Amino acid sequence: MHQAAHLFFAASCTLLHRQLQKSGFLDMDGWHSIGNGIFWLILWNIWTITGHTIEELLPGANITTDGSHTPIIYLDSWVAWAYVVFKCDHLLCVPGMYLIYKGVKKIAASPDLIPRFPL
Amino acid sequence: MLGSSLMILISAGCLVHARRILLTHVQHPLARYLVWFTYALLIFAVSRSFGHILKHILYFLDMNWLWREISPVSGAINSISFIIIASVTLFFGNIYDIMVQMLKDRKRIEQTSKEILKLTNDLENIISERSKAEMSLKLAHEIRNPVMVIGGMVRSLLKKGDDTRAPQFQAILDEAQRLNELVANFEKNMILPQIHYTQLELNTLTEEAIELVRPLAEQKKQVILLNRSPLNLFFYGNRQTVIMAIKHIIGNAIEACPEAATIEITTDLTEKGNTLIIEDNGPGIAPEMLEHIFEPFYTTQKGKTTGLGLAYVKQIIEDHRGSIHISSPEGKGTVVRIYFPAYYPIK
Repeated sequence: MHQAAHLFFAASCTLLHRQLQKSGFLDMDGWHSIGNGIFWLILWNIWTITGHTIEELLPGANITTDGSHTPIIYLDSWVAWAYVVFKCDHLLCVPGMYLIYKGVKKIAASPDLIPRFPL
Repeated sequence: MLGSSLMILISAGCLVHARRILLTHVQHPLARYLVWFTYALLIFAVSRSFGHILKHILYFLDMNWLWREISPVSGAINSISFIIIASVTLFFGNIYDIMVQMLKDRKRIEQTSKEILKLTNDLENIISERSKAEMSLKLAHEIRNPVMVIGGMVRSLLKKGDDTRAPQFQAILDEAQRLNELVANFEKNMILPQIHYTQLELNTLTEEAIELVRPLAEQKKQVILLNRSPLNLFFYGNRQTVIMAIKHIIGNAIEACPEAATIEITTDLTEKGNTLIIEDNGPGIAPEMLEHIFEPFYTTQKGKTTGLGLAYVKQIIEDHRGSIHISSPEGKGTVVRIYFPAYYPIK
């Protein structure tokens, strides 16, 4: 179910990106940045889906909290390595959000970037 | 933890700026969309970060078991937030469609405003011409009366046989007759207000009038069928006033008919000239109303209409030397027949 929600999110972001491109918004300052942010969110969704799939493959014994507050991962296989790499999904999500923030901020500063009519 | 906190902060920043945009673009669908989108981003960031932060706290408190219990709930909340943001994202297409529709409506309003302006100017000109014509006709009448008296008196003098001044009397009579003919020609020209008349084509005017009323018909899910004559139906007249007259008749049919009704419009060349027939399958018009339908100020909707519409339509059509006839067999809808004299341009 969670994976399906990620897929839905990725598909809707792809559609939005295409619509922004087709309607000419991506050629405008601010909107261009929002488009890039959405593209990063698409990548993030794909990244996370892959991460969740790898998590399913990882044996439970590889993650433990033996005597520590922080979970410990035994990096004894490629699956464990891949799990660690794909867990760092914030590296895609945060830049994506930042690009959207940059775009919205730019639009707020320039009223002309909200076109009165379709481009 | 850092990533999660950053996501919340950035999405909150997005929302603040989106609300700023909405303040400067009140009622703008795109500005409103950006607010929804950033709200959805914030929900997504909070739900996602909340799970991550809670997980770390529970691990820190050695309550791993609790995290294992509640992690499915956190995952479900995350999934819901994805669906929310995805749904809002999908809504952009609708927003864009609304903007396209707004543009179309704006263009239509601009076009209608231009038409109304042109019509007003034409009407002012027609009224002005009509006033001038009426004044001139009155003047012609005032001239003709003394001319007739002079002519009559000279004729009686000639009959009395006063031979010595007969040639002079005859000359006066000839001049009086010439003046009478001059006045007659002047009146004839004044009766036809042709200054704003141009060559028109009935099929084209009918199509233009249909386009003006189409939104009203669409609102009532009505169908307008046009049986367009393959011939060019030329006549001579004022474009704006004829369009307004046809539009008024079709508009009346739309108003009178129920939802999903069909209004059939036919253009043709008949023995009576260029013919326009507007038929509807509405409730029809009661016979007692039909008798007075072209009378000025006669209306069945007191307070809503002036009752001048059909009187004005008749006036326009008659000004074009045409005629209008309405028949309405009880319960069988209404048929309006309009005839304009056919005019064949010489190439």
